[in-house]
Order: sequence, then C-alpha cells, then structure tokens
Amino acid sequence: MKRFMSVFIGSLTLLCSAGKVLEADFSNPDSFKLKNGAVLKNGVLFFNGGQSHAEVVGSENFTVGKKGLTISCIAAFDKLEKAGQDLFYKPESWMLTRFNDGMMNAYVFNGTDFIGRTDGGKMAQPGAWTHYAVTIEPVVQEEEGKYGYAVSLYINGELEAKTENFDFKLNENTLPVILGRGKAGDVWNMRGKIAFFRMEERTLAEEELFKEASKSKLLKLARGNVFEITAPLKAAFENVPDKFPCRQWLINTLTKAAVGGAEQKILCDAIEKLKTVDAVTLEEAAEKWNKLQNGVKLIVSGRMALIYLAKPGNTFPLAGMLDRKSGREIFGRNTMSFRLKTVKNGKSADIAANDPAWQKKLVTDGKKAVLSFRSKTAEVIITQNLVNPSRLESHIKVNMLDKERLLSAVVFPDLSFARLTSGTDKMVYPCKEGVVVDNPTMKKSPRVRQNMFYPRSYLTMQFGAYYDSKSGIYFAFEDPRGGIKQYYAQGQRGDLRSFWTGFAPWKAGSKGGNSYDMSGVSVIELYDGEWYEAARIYRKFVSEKADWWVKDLPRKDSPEWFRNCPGWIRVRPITDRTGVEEARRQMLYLREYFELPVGIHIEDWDDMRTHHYPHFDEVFDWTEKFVRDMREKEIYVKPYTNSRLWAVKDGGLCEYDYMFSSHGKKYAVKNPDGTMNYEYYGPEFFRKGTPKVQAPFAIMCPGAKGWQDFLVKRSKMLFKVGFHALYHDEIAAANPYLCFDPSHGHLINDPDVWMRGHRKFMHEIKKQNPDTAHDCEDGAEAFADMLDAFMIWRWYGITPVFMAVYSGRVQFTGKLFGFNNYNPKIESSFFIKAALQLVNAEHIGWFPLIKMELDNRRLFIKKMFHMRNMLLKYFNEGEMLKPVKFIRSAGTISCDWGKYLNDEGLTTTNKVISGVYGRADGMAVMILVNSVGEKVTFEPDAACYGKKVAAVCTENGRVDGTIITLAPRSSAVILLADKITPDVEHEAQRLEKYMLRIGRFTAGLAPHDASKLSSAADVEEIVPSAPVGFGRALIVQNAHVSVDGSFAGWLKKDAKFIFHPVKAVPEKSVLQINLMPVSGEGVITVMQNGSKLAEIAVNAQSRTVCKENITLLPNTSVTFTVSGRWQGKLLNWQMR
Amino acid sequence: MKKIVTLLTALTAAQLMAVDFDFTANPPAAKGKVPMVQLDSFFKIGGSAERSALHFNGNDKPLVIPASGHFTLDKGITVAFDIVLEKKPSGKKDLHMLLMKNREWLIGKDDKNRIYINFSDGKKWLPGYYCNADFSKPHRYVITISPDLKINIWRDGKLYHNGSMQSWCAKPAVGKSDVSIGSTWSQWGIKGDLYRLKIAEGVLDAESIKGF
Repeated sequence: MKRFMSVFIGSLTLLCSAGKVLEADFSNPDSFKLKNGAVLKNGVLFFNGGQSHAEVVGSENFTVGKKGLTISCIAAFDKLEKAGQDLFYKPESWMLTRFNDGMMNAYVFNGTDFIGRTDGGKMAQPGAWTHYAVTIEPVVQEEEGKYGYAVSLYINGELEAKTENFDFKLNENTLPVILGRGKAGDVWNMRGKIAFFRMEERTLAEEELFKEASKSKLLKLARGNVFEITAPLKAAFENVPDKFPCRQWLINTLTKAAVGGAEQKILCDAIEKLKTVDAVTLEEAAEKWNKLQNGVKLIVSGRMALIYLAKPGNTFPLAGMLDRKSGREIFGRNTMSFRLKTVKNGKSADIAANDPAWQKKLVTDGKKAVLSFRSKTAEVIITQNLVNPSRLESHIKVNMLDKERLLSAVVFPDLSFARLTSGTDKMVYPCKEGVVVDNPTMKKSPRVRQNMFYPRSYLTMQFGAYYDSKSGIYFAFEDPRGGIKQYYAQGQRGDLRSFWTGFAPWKAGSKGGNSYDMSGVSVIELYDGEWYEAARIYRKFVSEKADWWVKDLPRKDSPEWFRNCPGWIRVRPITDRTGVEEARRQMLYLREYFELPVGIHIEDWDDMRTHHYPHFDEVFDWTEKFVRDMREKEIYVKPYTNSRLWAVKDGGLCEYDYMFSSHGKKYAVKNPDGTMNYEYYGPEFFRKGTPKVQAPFAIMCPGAKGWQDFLVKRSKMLFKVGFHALYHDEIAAANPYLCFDPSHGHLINDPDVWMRGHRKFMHEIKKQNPDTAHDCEDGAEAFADMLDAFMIWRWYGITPVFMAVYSGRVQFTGKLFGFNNYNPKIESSFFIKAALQLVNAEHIGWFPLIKMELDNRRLFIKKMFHMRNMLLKYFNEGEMLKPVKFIRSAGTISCDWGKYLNDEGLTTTNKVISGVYGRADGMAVMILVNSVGEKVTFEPDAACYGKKVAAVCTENGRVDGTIITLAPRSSAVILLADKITPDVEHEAQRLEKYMLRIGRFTAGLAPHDASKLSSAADVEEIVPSAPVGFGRALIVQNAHVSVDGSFAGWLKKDAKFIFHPVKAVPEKSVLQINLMPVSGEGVITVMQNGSKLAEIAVNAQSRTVCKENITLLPNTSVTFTVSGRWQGKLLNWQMR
Repeated sequence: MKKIVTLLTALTAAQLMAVDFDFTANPPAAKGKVPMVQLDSFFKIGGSAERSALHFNGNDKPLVIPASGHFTLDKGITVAFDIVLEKKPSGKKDLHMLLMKNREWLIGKDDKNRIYINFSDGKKWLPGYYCNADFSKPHRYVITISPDLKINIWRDGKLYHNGSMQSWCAKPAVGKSDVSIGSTWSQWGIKGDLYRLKIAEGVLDAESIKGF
C-alpha cells in the first residue's frame, strides 16, 4: 500500500485546478514502462535506437478536449541520424519528430492518416539538451464550416511554428504516450536521452513554457546569444563626448548590438572617431561621423534616426531606431529580421537572418541603406529608404542560389517593438473593422486571431499600429496588389512582436532557384495620434497605390439605387416559417411604412435543401413573381449565392456526385500533394428530410479559367430571375488559398492568383450585368473595387478603422442582429448595432423580417433609415473624420451582442453612438444617437475639428449650445462648417426640417398586423349587432386584450383596436360601448376608412357610452382609438 | 431610537431597491424602484376584468426585469408572488420557471408540484432544492434565500417551510445579468396568471415579510 501511495504521489503530480497535469518523476522507475533496452538511470531515460522506447505511466487519459493540451519534454539527441527521430508519440493521435535536416515536426492524426504537420526550428546540436513543447488547441469556426486544431511548436520556450489544421477530428484515445519511438517504427527510433516529460490539459503560453524550460539545470537558456561587453568597448563608450546629440541612445543601441554579437572591435573603432566629431545637431553629427568611419552608420531624417552596423555578427544590421520627438528607442530586444521558408525534396527548412552562414554587407547612401546577405543557398537584398522625416520603407528581394531548393515563403519584416510606457499602450490589429488591444505586450484580445491569411475578414488590411499617449508607430506591408500573406502581432517576452509572411511563386515543375521580389514595401512610420491617425497613413498608401482603390466619389460603378439604399431586411420565407405570401405582404407594407425604398437579402429563393453549390439552379416557382412584385414597389432583391465552394455531392439532397468530379474538381484549389481543401456544413443549415451529416464542399481556385467562366455564366442566369444584386457568400470572408495545380495555368504558390482571379470574374460579372450590385460575406480591402459592398455581419463596428479608410468607397450591407424575434439577453444590442451602422456609413439592417414586429425596433429603424437618407451625401461623397471625444459623457452600456459577436462576453459601447463625416465643401456632420432606453445628457467636443458649429438639430428642433439632452433612442446632428455661408444656412435648414420629420415618426402598424388586414378574408366576420368584445380586435396596439377576448385594458398612449372584417350595418344605428372605468378622462375616437365616425368623451364614471346615427360602411375596418389619460377596461361595443 | 431609525432606513432602502409589480392595477404598476417590465401587446390579460393578472401562455419569451442585476445571492433575496399556475396540456411536462437570474439562481415549479430553487456556481446548476407547494389555488408565497443559503418559504403570511442548501458545498455565482420572469429553457414556460411579484435584496424579517 505504501509503495502504491508512493508511486501515486511520487511519480505523478495530478493537479485538478488548472487542468489535469502529469509531470513524470524521472527518479522513480515506476513512472515508465521501459521497453526493448530503454534505460532509466540517474534521472535520465536513455534510448539506443532500434526498438527501445518507454511508455509514460498515467498518460493514457490526457486529451485535447475543449481546453487543449500541452506536451513538453527536455531531450538530447546523441547524433543526428540520417533519418528522422521520433521524440514522443500518442499512438495515432499526435507526435513530435525531428527530421533529418533538423526541423522539428509536430503531427496530428485522425486515426488513420497524418492530417496536419507543423514544422519549425533549426538543426539540433548533437548532445545538446533542448526543451521541446507542442500545444494542441481546438479551433471552432462554426459559421465558416471549419473545425480543427491549432498546433504550436516551441523550442526552448520560444514559438517556432503554429498551424491551423481543419476538417478532421483528432483521434483521442486511451493509449499511453510513448517516448523515443513513434509512428514510423524502428527506423526513426530515437538515439538519445530524455530527462523531463510533462503534460497538461490546457495550452500553455510561450512565457509559461519558457519559464518551464528555464527551471531545468540541464539547459542554460538565454533569449538569443549574449556576449559580454569587452573592456575596450566599455572604455570607448565612456569616451563618447558628453555633448554628442542623443549620446545615451547611441550607447544603449550599440551596447545591445554588442551583447547580441556585433563585432565589438569594429564598434570600438567607430566610437573612437566620435571624439573628433563636434556637432550641435544629430544631423550634423551623422554627416561628420559617417565620413570618418564605415563600421557604424547613422542616418537621420527629421523625426527618425537609424543606426546601421557593417559587422553586426548574428544581429540585424539595423541596430536601432530613435523617435526623436518622443525621445524613445522604438525597437525592443531585437530590431528587424527575416526568415526564409524553403523546401528541398519535400522537406522544409527555415533559414533565418541570424544564421551564421550569411555573409553580410552594408552600403549606405544618404537616406538609403542596402543590406545584403549571401550564402551558398540564397541571396537576400534588403533596401531601406527614409522617404520622409518619419517613414522608413523596406523592400526585400530573395534569390535562391540553390537550384534544388525552393523558396516557399519569406517572413519579413519580423519586428520587435519595445513596450510604450506612457499611459495605456494600445495596438491596432487589422481584424475585421479593426481591433484595439490594450496593453498588447502582455495581453491578448479574444477578438484577434494570429497568423491569419490576408485578405479575409480576420485580416482585412495590411497595417498595424502601436501607440500610447506620447506617440505612435505605424507598421505595414504596403502591397498594392493585395497578395496572400500572413500576419502576426502579439506580445512576446515584454516586446510587441509583429511579422508578415509573403509567398514566393515558382514555375510548375521547378525544383528550386526561384526568387521572391516583395510586392510593395514594408513601412515603419512614426506618428502622433491613435487608431484614426494610423488609418489615415494607411489610407494615403491605398489611395495612391492600391489596385483596389476606388478613386471617384460617389462611386460610379456602383448603381445609385444601391449606394442610396437605406438598409436590408433578411427574408427567409421557408426557414423562418413566414411563408412566401406572408413575407410578400409584410415587405410591401414595410416599404410603405418606411417611406423609402428598401432592400431584402433573400434566402430560400431556391431549394437550399439540395445544397447544390455552386449551381443554384433549383429556383422555386414562386421566386420570379415574388421578385417582380418587389421590383414594382422599389424593393431591391439580393439573393444568397456562394462563389467559393463546390459541393462534392452536388446532386439530389447532397446524395450523389452530379458534376463535381466531371467539372468542379479540376478547378478546385490543390495542395502541394494534389489534395483538395474542404469546408463542412451540416444539419443546422438543412431542413427536415436532409442528411444529418456534415457534407464536404471543395474550395475553388479563382485563378482557374473554367471556374471564372462558370461564375460569369451563373450570374447571368440568376439576373434573368429579376434580382437587383447578388450576395456572394464567403469570398472576402474566408481563408484565401495558395494553389499548386499546374493545370490552372497560373504559377505555383503564387500569392497574387487569389485576387487576380477574383478581380477577373467579378469585373466580368459586373460588366455583363450593368446596374446590378454585388456584395459578399464580411469583407477585406482587396475586394473593394470588384464588389460594391461588404455584408459585415460579424464586425462589431466599435472601432471603425476600416471605415476610416474606406467609407464611401465601398458600402456595408449588414450586421448580425440575432436570428430569433426576441431574445431579452441581446435586446439592448439591437439599437446599439443599428446606431453603429448609421454612424459608420453602413446600410442599416440585415435583421430578419420577424424582428420588425416590435414597435420600438421598427420605429428606431425607420429613424435610422431616414437619418442615413438625410446624410447620404456625407457618407457617399465625404470622409470619416476623427472620432468624437466627449467633454461630458453620457456613460457607457455593456450588453450581450449575441452569437458570433460575443468574443468578450458583454460588449461595452458609449450610450451615445457617434461619428463625424466631412465633405469637400468644408461642411461636416457630427451624428449623435442615443442608443439606450433612457434620457441622456452629454456634450461632444465639437470644437476640435477646427470648424464652426452651424446648427445643432434634434428630433424636437434646433437647440443652442452643444450640451445636448436626448430622449430615449433619439438622435441629433451637429452641422459644422469652415464658415457660415448661405449654403451652410440652407443645409442647416434642410437638416432641421428633416430631423423634425424624423421626430414625428410613429411605430405604425406591425407588419404582421398589416398583413392580417390585407388577408382578412380568411377571418371570421364580426357581427356588431351583438356585443363585440374588445379582445376580439384583429389588431391591437398599445394595449392588451384578455385571454378570452372579452375585454381589453392596460392602455398606453394612443391605444388602438382595429376590427376587421366587420359586417356592414347600412342603416343608421346607435353605437354603444361598455366600459369598466378606473381613472382619468379621455376620448374614444371611432374611424372607418380614415373618416371619423364618432368621438366620445369618457371619464372615471363612464360605464356605457353611446353615439347615435352611425352608419358602418361595408368591407371596411372599424378602428377605435383611446386618447387622453383615461384608464380602465374596454369591455365590448355594439351597433343597435 | 437609533435602532429603530437604522431598521427603518434598512427597510426603506430595501423597498426602494425592490421589484414590486402589481398586475392587478390598471395599468400594471411598478411600485418599487425597479421599473416595470416591457410588456408587448402579445402579452394577454389574465384573471378577470375586475382583478387582472399578467397571463403567460406557456410559450412566452422570458420578461427581463430591467435594472435587476443587483439581486444576487451573496446579499440574499426575498421574493414574493401571487400566482395561479395552469396545468400544461397532456404530453407536456408541467414545468414552470418563475424567476431566473441567468447562471446565478432560479425559482420555479417542477412537474411534481414542488417549488424548485437552485443556484449556479457560475459553470453549472447544482442539484436543486425542492419543497411541496400548491399553485392551483391563489396563494401568496414569500421565499427568502439568505447569503448562507438558508431557505424560508412563507405561504399566506405563515412560515410554511425552512431548509438549507448549505450542504451543496458550492458558492453561488454573482453576476450582473438581469432577473427574468420565465426563462428560455425549453418546456419551462410559465402557463398561468401572475397577479403580483416582489423581489427585495436581503432577507426580510418576519414582520416585514407579512407586509411584503
């Protein structure tokens, strides 16, 4: 028993609090089952190759589950076998291996096949103890049909590689973990030793793994190489003249370089020359010092100063960057770097900038520096230009000299920024509309996903920014072609690390010797401001150089009706069980109610059960007539389509291969091994009778001409139905793919094929179908010229970085409002989202038709529609100005935004949602919407735009001053102008008049009530010769009826009861109303066909009231309205 | 004197923070500090023309009580309701969720005619506490749950049941979500007429409960 306890406690440490943990006790032989010659001695497991291996006792039940799993070990290989060596292995589930070229490979299995491989790391040194860790974390993107795992590989506590692997289920089993042997069996068995093994059922962060690795006495870990500063260099630093400009920065930068491995003798010699430099300014010092020596070059241009080293050792030649305005070094532990990802004979290897094999050369000329790296394998040329006082542009070109090695990707620039410490530091991340991450060197944002591929919704633009209250750093990959790339920006060891990965194409059949010539440049620009100012820097680039920039406003290639559309309603007659006729009636009513043309995003227009992507040729019989009816009333119809996927079983109810193999397959994206990529959609998108399994849909290559032609032809066919527009699901939202299919006629691994292909077919579709509009799911900038709009259903819109760049150039057509009619948890968010849409120049809506049932929502949406309509010229021809700051705030509201928009649980916004737009004529509007159900008072800072306040208009008229009080869910507009001219006065009057009109809007009838009136033929006729209970009214507004229909009560303002159909009473009769009064006085008005039949005063004593000489018209509804303060029960009415 | 003032202050504060919905009033009145739930026209009037009630048809969406996030179990709560529940049609479980604070606490009636009280530790609901009750007739129930999870149930002014959930060995979660009348749990829609509803922070004493 004692022994058992000792084994239990001694060999395993099981902690339940932070996830199950197993740390093997290497001093206890019971921790392992040793097999075939494996030996445990002095706390170390020895493997001699062959079949030797060890099973870890207690490792059987560790799973990835929902929290993820981390597996780590400390191992040393005796020698680097020609074949690889397997380190640890959960049979048929996951494994870590070393390849013969030194890279580490983490594998995941589905039980039968290797599904994902994550490669990273450098050549292992024989005998050197190294900490290896793999984390596996589940990734669920339900809405994109992607399910899988993120696999990260760490070496000595540093992240080396991370991949996302989709479309499979990891084979979780109860087999023990094996050390020293893996899937490949004897050939790849380990020859070496392991001294530490640990598992935890959660994914550990990089810092935690580094800490774990650092604890081991076997490893002497340091972050990067550390060299001691030599005495001569120390002395040289002391001799730097005190008056030398930026002396301390220079010393710090060179110290850091020396510690990192820069040649100290060269640095000494260079610093010695400083003694003779007499300069007042840094510019002067640079000029003089650079002439005296070649070891260190100082380039200065206004705000930015750079130090380059001719002999940087393992460090990067650019050693430092000073922001002279804030007086801060910009870079952290490292400065800039690159990494080449190469493939030889199917095996991957990375070559980093600090690889000792490089011969480095530095040439500077004025504000320009050329950094050359050359080895037997490759040549890298980085050209850096200080193009203006605060902007450094870098370009990289790589030529593979090894004709047998392919260059697949280039990581550049890999930047490390020092933490900014004035106030709260913030990072802009270009995910969706933009995410601002507080304290990014330490914290992660749940809204950000790292290493995503651009262009897609999770990576919409090519820039980031990092700022605090003192200054900001803009960093970007300004690629005017918008090719596929990856981006990472996250805290790492106290710095902010950011890197882009670009991809290198090659000709089909090529084995190596290809090159990479960066499209565009990477930029570091120092600036003052926050996210908006960074967005303006980026805007300058895209407006001058990007292929997708829309130059003219208003955008001429988008139909005017589309640009001016106030909003969109999502109609799903079958899925939402509305029924086609009911949907038609409700939409026709809403068109009248809104008093504006409106759009509908229609699903169910074809038989979606069949999931016959991409054919969309099962159009229902009713569709054409429905569309025609809508067209007649200026209701724009935009059907759902998908322009990315081809169902593998595109026949029947996802039952058989109709055209996939014969037509689709050849145009699908292919991986290097010829396999295809899939998304899986299943039952939730189906209705009764369809298969309950997830069905695969292949991702198509937009560069394949056959696919382009198919989409052009299909679009033509769809527009024959009568649609005004098409919604192309996924194309700008989902992951872009590099294609390796030589039969498509494009280069292999070419990052530009994705956008070039999309641009080709979308422009052709637009050309062949004039006056039509096109949008897609979510959005990404590179699609802006080919699509009229992005349907940004998953974007929050709280920090509208994207809109600050693109508002007016592209429209935005929807946000997710939830699927159900009423969900109390997210009800508050309905108004906030709609208000945000307005102030972000978006079309309002994409809420389901059913959501228009509630009076307060319908009224608010009508107001937002008309606010947008009133301000169209600002939205479509102006620009977003910087966000509103409040002198006096109305406070914030936190509420649940519902599924897909709840990354942080509750979402917090200002109660007053605001935005500012300026026009070329100098006029600007500040839009202020009270999004909450309470009165608010606030004061915006209207003076900071450098304009005069021309008018402050609320829904009740103009007000003086900018301290504004707004009623619940009402709005104000402040007109700003450079000077008050007659045109400005005229505009002020227009806004005032329109705002007053908006203030007079009422909720009107609910669409389902209006529909009842237009379809009342099926309802039992009311015979008023007998008492009619008020509870029998067909439509009841602002009141409630009893369960049995015998009475009505609980009256609110303007309670209304509409009875229909009512049997006509042609003769003059007496109208009698029976009441149960409670309090107050009021008037009951009886109307028919807009004419007043009777007006009857009631008070707290009225029990029966009458009106003589009433004639009821045939086939006409009878409406009773109660006004005033009367309260009581309305029992019944009768004609006698 | 000081003691009386303190008691009065405490009682007044509790009342001011309280939910006090009177659906017999015309129109329904919120007599406490917490404003009335938003009643759309879909909701029908139960009871009679003389004494009205808020009717639930068994399928209604929950009604969120605005500004009620402060009714947390760490301070204890006192809940009173006049309600008559109808039996659900055969084939449906006779379950009724009266009040729920999402992921914190709930009070309902199960299909064995028992008051069902429960709390969540933030991750899961615990096994539940049950007490026999009769909802077929108009009774006025007052339920108190103290911060140490002691439960008292009063019926028509008399202490009817006491117990405790202390043995659950878990701490109730404290969050900010509002209390709702009803819940989104399937089959748990209320079917019946609610005449009055009161909720107060803390556990009121016997005297206060009689007048509550």
